Amino acid sequence: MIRLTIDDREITVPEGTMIVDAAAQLGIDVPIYCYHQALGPLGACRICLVQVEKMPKLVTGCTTAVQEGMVVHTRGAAVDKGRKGVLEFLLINHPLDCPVCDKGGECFLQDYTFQYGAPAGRYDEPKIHKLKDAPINDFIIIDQERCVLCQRCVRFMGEYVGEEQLLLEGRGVDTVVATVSHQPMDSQFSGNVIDLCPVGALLSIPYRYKARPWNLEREESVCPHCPVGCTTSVTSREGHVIRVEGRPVAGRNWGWLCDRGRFGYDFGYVEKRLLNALVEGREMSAAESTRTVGRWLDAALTDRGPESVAFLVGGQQTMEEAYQVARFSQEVLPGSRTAMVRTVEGYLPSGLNGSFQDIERADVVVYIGGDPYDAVPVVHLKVRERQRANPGLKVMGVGAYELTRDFHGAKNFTVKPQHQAAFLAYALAQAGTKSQAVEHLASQLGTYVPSLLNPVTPEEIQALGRTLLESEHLVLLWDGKEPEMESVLLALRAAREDATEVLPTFGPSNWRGWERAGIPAHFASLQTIIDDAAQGKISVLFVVGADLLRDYPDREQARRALERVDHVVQVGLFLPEEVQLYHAVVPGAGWSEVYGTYTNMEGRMQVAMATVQPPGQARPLRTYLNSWAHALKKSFVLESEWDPFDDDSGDFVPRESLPELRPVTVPEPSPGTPPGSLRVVGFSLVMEGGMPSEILAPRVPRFPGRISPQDAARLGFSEQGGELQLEGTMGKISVMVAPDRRIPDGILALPYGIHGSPLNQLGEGASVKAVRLEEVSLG
Amino acid sequence: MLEGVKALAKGLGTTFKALTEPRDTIAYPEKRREYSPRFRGKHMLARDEDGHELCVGCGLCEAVCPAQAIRVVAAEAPTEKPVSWTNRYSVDYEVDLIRCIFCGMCEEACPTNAVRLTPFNELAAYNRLDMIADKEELLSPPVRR
Amino acid sequence: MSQGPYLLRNQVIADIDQIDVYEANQGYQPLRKALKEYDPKALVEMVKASGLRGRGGAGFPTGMKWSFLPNDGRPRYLVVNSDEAEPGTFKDRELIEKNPHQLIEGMIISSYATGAREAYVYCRGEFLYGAAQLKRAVAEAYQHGYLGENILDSGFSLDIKVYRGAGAYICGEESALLESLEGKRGNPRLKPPFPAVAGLYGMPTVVNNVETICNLPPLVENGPEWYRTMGTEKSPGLKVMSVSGHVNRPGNYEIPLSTPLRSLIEDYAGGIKGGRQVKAIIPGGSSVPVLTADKLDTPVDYEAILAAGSMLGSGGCIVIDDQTCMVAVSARLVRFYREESCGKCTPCREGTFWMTDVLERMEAGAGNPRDLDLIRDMADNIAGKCFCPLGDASLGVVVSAMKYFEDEFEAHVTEHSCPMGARLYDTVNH
Repeated sequence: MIRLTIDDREITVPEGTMIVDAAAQLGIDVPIYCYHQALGPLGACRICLVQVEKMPKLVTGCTTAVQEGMVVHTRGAAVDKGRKGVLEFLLINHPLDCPVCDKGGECFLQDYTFQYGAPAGRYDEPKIHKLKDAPINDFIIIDQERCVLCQRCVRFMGEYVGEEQLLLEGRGVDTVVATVSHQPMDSQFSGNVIDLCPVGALLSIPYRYKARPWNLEREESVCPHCPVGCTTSVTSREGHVIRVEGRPVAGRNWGWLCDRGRFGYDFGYVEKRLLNALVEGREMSAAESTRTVGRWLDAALTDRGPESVAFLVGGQQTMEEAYQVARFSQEVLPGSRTAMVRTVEGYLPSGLNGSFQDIERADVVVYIGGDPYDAVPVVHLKVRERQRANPGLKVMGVGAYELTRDFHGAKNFTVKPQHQAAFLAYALAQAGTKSQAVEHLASQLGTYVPSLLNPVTPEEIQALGRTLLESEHLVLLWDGKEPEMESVLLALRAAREDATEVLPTFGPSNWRGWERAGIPAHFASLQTIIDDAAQGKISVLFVVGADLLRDYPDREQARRALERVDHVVQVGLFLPEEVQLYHAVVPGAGWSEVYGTYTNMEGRMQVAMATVQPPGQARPLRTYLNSWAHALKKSFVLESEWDPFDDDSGDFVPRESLPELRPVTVPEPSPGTPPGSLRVVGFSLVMEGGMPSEILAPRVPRFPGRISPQDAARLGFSEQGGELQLEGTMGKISVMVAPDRRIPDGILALPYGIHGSPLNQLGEGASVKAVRLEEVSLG
Repeated sequence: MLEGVKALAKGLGTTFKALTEPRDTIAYPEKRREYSPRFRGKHMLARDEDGHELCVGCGLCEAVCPAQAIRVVAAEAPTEKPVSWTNRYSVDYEVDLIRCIFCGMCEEACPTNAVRLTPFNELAAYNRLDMIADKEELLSPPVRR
Repeated sequence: MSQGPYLLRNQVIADIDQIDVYEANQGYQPLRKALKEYDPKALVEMVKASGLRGRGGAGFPTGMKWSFLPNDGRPRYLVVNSDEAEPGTFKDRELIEKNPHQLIEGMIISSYATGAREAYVYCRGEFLYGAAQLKRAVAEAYQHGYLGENILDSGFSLDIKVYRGAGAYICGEESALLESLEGKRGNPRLKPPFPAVAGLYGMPTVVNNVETICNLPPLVENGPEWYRTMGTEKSPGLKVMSVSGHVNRPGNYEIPLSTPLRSLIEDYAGGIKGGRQVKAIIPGGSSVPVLTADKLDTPVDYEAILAAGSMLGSGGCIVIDDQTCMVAVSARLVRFYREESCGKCTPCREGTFWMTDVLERMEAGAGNPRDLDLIRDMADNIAGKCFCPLGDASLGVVVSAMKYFEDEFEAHVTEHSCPMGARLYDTVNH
């Protein structure tokens, strides 16, 4: 620790802290453009000049590390003169077009000029003209004249994200920020440059000219799209959400968002949004619909009892809503059942759940089943940040295709679909541990020997097992596809001396919170209800905030279930797929419209404020629950003492004790896919499925399916890809696919929930016959 | 009695005297008062010589307005069909003339000299909503009849 | 007092760029001696003892630079800075074009001393011929067993790669050079860490100027005591001065340090053209302040020139005669820095741009009296506030010229014309 004095105040900070950060801890504001703690010092803008006693010149506070006994002055004649000079330089080629600039009012160039700048300019020469108002992708517009060349955007994309899509072009005063080869930026982290830009050079297109800071209401919120639960601030004007920004939380996250979270906020206003109730094909007011539903409920209770009522809930809404559903089921309809709609069958005991802090300490990160880049994008950045801090970080992938992106020294084990749990159990058994749990696992494996799709030696499998057992800080990111994995993870925890931390990358985004509020999250509870429904045992089925046909792994079975139920009632924001199967659809209110708590993949509870009113007749869930209870002449008081934070575990949901090991089924040796067939592997893609967005439409991948380049060549596709017809035992779909060198031969990776190309029509892991439909014309 | 006549004469005397005195009121609307050239009346939005609106919808008037009487909503105009002299313009521009205190700060804040306060001061309406001047109204400055 | 040139032997020996001619003139003998008689530590000590200082501009003691390398087993690199783009300096060009083997020999000795297994020459982009010469000479050296594995059976191995830059003055700054050599944009790096700790590819790296390295063969051959017989206590040895400007015989001259400027101009460079008078001298390349004619007796060594108010820099001595307009000189030089600023930091990028505009406007007769204060204030806002020395370098001539020739600048803004009648540009080219 180092002691120094800043503006006559003493502070003790760790060695290596920069002066600006030390000053910030004292609440002293030193102006900054180019420096960002996540990116490290650069020293380009020179605005953070400070005076250090015994140093001959002014120094930049962002590049000068603190030293013992240093005496720093952040103001004073020399410092102010220096800053004034730098600002004057920055402004000589600045277009001074604040009235038409969206940054106006929240611009650091304005603020610092106001604070430190000269009242008038002395510059009479012609200004340099550069590119203005040029889109660099569908969401971002660049104005090179306003740029102060702080390089934050360039460095973020290149060094932090690792996708070099922005660069500095030209030199000297002609330097500009541009995209590589002037091609649109297609990174899914592109929107962060808007937050990073201290001036109005990189601006959001959806927000363009929409509002001024003084029109805005800003509320703290949490991104609802994936289980990361990034902290955001939601900006609204006149009752409309018009912008989402990252909200940094000191010591926890930098406020990075993926483009899905940043620009996908318009789902409340898309055309598909339900504004009125729809009962048996007839549009009616929400109030009227509740009476109809109440009559159905009443009849079902009288005829068949509460056991014939079930609630299937989506798990994307707030914990408070989950609690209301659970209470309604228990108190108003005792005997009715609830379950969460799941896409994958795996379950992670909360005792194994790790947090993002574990990634910050990790020395080994193992991806199981899926790539976090696709499912939980910001976690990819967290792992990258860890590798920047610890170049020795080992990143490994165990999945049906290559999971690790461009991580240095990454190792992949490409395992056949549905063999991952057995493979990991085998790897652990090979490592030669004395652990009972692992020996128990191994005894179940019998003679199983994994065959991998990429070249891997037995020694490497052994080494993987040893790494899993012996590494100090092990973090596993599991996509929840194989339910047997739970036992492997439990055995691993039992065998390891150091902590094993697992982060579930599967959805629904708030599943842990709903579980905490009393809704069973195990797939089995869902399956029982669906199977009972398909057998006609259910009379009234409530589907709350879920699209059953889209999300349930077996679409045909879900359809049968909906067909056999007397009354299916959907409460949600949008019309579900195949709406004719539903008897009533009532408009619900969602994110940004109701206050509530979300629990992310760490098990961390975070509060999102309501920002706007629900549109049309959309109502919060509790309104419907109350009126249904009223229709049943039952009293239902929702106000209670329950609070998600009401225990000793702080922000985290309490970790429960670990369950017993369950047997691992040894996969049968796959019969080998017949020629011309592909095995379907599902993965979560945050850009696909989920809530609709018109802003994001250009970013939804045109070719969501991925096949190996060899298969693509065999099927006669160009490098760009094309449309493929897939026929399995369960059904037939057509899907756009593109070659991807990370996919092994014979595998088709397909995101869950593509509209019109549902994977659950084929089944996870199914072997399907693939025929090329037609060549998609280039361009 | 005489007292009464005296009083009447005195009273009428005052009346007749007043007839010859200069008037303090004017016969509005036949006659109208002259105001200082700097008088601040109803707002207008100006155009440039090419007919383009000067207002770019920056919202500074809205920010500075002490009575919160102004609402501005900006938008981007297509390049081929510009509304203002640049690609940003105001879709909505509303002044609530009942709230307005005619301080002129909007005029002062306007970076493009688009908002100007005219001398027009005949502001009356039968309806509360009619007292909210919208953009169309502001773009055709009132003329004193 | 010196017995013929040591560094510029090409001026007296024809075809010394050929390896056989070089070998015939004791070429590669110092290398044999170094490899045979010295271990690396002793060589570093010898360079320290000789007092050799870096000839690239800063004059940092070479031996001390070498001893900063951390001893942690990481690979080390030697990088030779041949990105000589300073206006008025052209010594390295002659050294690599005319006598490349001398540099290669020096590089092998330095690599041996510093423990580098790979060495790079970063050639200025415009040195097409120089780079070709170097590449040819490196190939010859490989053929003759001076490079590659197990050089001259000493067990020491070295590879030399010649890299040509893309034409940026800033890449003469060592950290920008390393960035460029790594294939990145040529922007200077944050220091610390210095290249000696984390240089090329993050490894310990010695970056030396061509002339510094060329000093090694004669130094090894004759020993540090000989080296110290020339020059002063603090600035010993030989220096190649590039003399240009209004002199009769511009060119490179090898002088022992502490030779007076007057002698350099009159004895070596043949005096001023047309018998005119010296008005100003820029003694160390375009980045250093000018000296006026009354400083002509200053000896050419680091300390004396510093005391006179300038710097020896890279040894590019530009002589300016009494018919030259100093505003034009300043404008021309600042424009150079404006074009060559990398654009990373604000004061340099915008300051040089603005200053060029103002100076060129003044020179074109459109100045106004406020401009002088404006330039002074601008210079103050640039000085000491830039990321790398380029920004300060751009001020050297302007600020000193304004100090010594204030009346000339004032005439430009009050009379709107040049008292010299000279004009650098016919029109201001914005």
